[in-house]
Amino acid sequence: MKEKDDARLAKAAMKSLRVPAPESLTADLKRLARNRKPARSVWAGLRDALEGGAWAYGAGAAFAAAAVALIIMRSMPEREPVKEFAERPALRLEAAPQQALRDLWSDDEGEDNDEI
Amino acid sequence: MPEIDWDALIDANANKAYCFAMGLCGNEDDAKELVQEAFAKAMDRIGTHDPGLPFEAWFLTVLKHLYLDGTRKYEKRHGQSLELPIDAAGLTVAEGVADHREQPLIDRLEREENSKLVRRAMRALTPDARAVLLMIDLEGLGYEEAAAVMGCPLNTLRSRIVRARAALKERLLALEVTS
Repeated sequence: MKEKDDARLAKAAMKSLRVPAPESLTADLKRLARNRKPARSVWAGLRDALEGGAWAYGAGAAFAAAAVALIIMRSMPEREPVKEFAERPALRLEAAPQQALRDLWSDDEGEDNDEI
Repeated sequence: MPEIDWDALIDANANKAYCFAMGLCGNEDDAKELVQEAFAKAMDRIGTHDPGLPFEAWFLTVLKHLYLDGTRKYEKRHGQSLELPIDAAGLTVAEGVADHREQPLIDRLEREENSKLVRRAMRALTPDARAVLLMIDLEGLGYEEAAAVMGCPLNTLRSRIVRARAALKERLLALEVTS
């Protein structure tokens, strides 16, 4: 019973100590928090970007595809477009020397005597 | 580690921290300074806080340690214990105080604002007794949480709160007699 009364008295006493924090203190604390906040490093930003949601994977894939396409297009040699087809010149025919052809000739008509 | 919303933590804990600090220090300037120091320390040491545990209890531990460190430094520098009652005449425990005065005192405390009287009585208690009273009877912490903040076993905490309440009552009755 005594302990109960003591607890009741202590609670009643503590109630009178309940005071709100001055607004200036809260503002000072928030300023303190802002000043102490470390600057975000580039690596932290990169890590956050990599840890992004599913949409980030799609966006990343689209960006990578566009980059690859650009690289391929830039590496191709530039050529003038063909304006018109030129007519091909006719093949040149040269008459074979008559003598040479005569030497190739024989009277071979497929008979036995022709072989001699 | 996820970024901590300090503004939200300050909004949620500044009042409790200030009440706790006021109860420990007994005056506004020291209480404000203590709360600022405690938040600065918490910002530096937030990495040691287990996110599974309530921030409030961890923060009160930081605040209490800072206060006790401060009082120990003061005692060392001045060679004077802060745990001694400051007002020998008014704060001597009146053993002969009749029990019938207890009930009117409780009624009066429940009915009226008596912060001056209570603060005066609190100043005569030891820092540990003050801390236990403030945590349990002002902040509403459970015994287990308070034991964690005080860094003592649960049974020790129970006996401390019983002793602290009894001491507070004695001081208040003594002040009632002398005032």
